[in-house]
Formats: sequence, structure tokens, C-alpha cells
Amino acid sequence: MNDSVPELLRRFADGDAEAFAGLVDRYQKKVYYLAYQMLGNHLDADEVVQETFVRIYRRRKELSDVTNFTSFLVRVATNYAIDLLRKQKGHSQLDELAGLPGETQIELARQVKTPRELYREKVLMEEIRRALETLPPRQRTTALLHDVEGYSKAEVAQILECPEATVRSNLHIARKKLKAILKKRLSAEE
Amino acid sequence: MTCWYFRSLVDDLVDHELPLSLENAVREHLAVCSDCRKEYDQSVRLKAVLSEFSVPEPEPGYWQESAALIRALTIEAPALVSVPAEIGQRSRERRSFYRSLAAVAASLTLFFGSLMIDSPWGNTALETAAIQSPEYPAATSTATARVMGGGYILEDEQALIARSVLLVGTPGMAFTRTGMLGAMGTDQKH
Repeated sequence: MNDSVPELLRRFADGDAEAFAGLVDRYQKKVYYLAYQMLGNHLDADEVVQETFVRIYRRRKELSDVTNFTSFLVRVATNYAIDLLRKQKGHSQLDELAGLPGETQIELARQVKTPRELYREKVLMEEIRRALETLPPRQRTTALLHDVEGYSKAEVAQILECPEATVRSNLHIARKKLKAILKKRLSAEE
Repeated sequence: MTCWYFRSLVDDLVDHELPLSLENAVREHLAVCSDCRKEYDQSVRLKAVLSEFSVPEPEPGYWQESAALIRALTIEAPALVSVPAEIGQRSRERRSFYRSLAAVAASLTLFFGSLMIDSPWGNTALETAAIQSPEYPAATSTATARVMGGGYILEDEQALIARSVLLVGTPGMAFTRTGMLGAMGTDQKH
């Protein structure tokens, strides 16, 4: 299982099923975290993980032509997550926050940071999540890939299969909206 | 150059993507324009806040379960995932086949059902009742009885059977006949 990604891809393209299992082990966390950031809940993130790898498996014959597997994988995952976001449009997931205080208490008890720090961090994450949820799917994905995941604009353009100018535009609009929503938080930190 | 121009470059400045000469020009402007400076500071803080965005870890054991499920959906079920486009087609064909089968079965039931009505075996009870009934010749003379394949069924009985077949349906044929005969027991005697 210590094979490099190109080696795993080569073996997988040659029909080695175990190489595919190696790719799943290596990349499922990346897909899960990205999907969770985009969709805001475990169930949808889990669905994206399953569907992404099933789609990769189906398209294994194309893998020999793929130069950047990570971008290819993230593209498959974000495309599916964007589809889910579009289906969910109008169905706010804010109801899930109803149980937050209890969950927060449990997490506070489990972790090393002080309860005060943890609580503030949790509140901040919820604020960011809610702010991101207000963005349309493409803007949200662009902001997440660039500002959270750290992909360059060129990489985001490759992942989302759009011109780099579109990425710049979407990112600019997304940041503008986020600044307006998180104005209080951003001003408080001055 | 106007504030609007400098603000359009703030994103690139935050992302460290400006050529050095342009970066210096923007910084010089920020040093003298408080509004643009405020815009820049908020952009820097937003990027810092987004870079901290994280999601909760899934339950312990999730990664193993997820990998196992992906394996079951792909490596261990290659036939299902390798021909996904055909699944819908197959399903439609299967439904069409079952519909045709149901139509043939219904036709056969009707056919054999009508044979049973006509057969001496099917009409044994009627015949016996008719032969044993002293009133039967009178019924024959008034043309209220008909000869059908060696059995005798009164016209109003035939109409009743036809109505029952329509109401109960072909699978209920045997029950209908039995029930009819039982119910008509009194009629046979007059």
C-alpha cells in the first residue's frame, strides 16, 4: 500500500482492483472533507465519497489520459456535490443546528483545547458554514477550493472546467458577499 | 488612478499575484486611502478566517466502512457498475416482458376458464341438478335454458357468471364458478 499514486493509477488502469482500493484509502478523506465543506453535513459528504469513487471506477479507462489525478478526482467530486447543492436549493439545513449545544458539550468534553476556545471555534465554523451556504454552488465551490483548500486559480479553473477569468470573477463576487455577511465578525477582529 | 481601480486589485494583492511594480502602487495608495485600506484589511481577515474553516471528524471506523462500501459497489460488483447505462434499458425491457407475460397469462386463464364452463366436468353439478330436477323440462320448454357443451345453464345464470367474471377478474374464475354454483343451488331446484 506504499505505492506512489502514478504507480497505483498504472496498475489500476491495467485492471488491478487492489490498486483501486489503494487510491480509495489515499483520497477518501480529501473527498470527504471537501464535500462536507460544500454541503455542510455528514450524510451528503458520505454520498459524495461513494459516488465519486464509483464514477472513478467506471471511468478507469480514461485514467491513462489523466495528467493530474487529484484535479480529476476533485472535479468528479465537486461536480456531484454541485448537483446535490442544486437539488437541495431551497431546503435549508439550518434545522440541523437545533441540536448544536448538546453536540458542542460532548465535543468539548472530548478535546484538549479549553472549552472556551473550542466553543468560539465551533461558533466561528458555524458562521462560516452559514455564510458559505448563502452562495450559489459555483461561487461556493470556487471560494472553498481557492481560499479553504488552497488551490491556485489555474487549478480551480481546471477542476471546474471553466476559464480562469470565470474563477476570478466568481471568487471576487463570493468574497464580496462573504465580507458583507461576516462583516460583524471581520470588524470585531480589527 | 481611482479607488475603483485599486479595489479591483485587492483580491490579487491578498493572493500575492500582483507584479511587484503594481503591488507597490497599490500599497502606496492603501497608505493614503482609509476606505481602500479598510477594504484590504477585511479581505485579509476573510482569507484568514476561511483558511481556518474545518469540518468535524466522522465517527471512528467511518473510513473503514466507507472503503468497504466502495469496494462492494465497485470491485466486488463490476457487472453492475461497468454497464450503468444499460441498467435502465434492461429494467424497461424486463417490465415490458412481464407485462406481455401477464397479458398471455390472463388470456390463457380466460380461455381455460371458458373451457371449464363448457366442459362436462365443470358443469357436473349443474347437469346433476338439472337431471334430478323434475321442473327442468318445463324450463326447457319455456326457452329459459340453453345447451352448452353437454351442460345446461340458465340464461340468467350465464349473465350472472359474466358479470362476476368482470367484477372479480380472471384469477377469481374458479372461486366465482364455485361460489355461483353454491349460490344458484336454490335456483336449480325451481
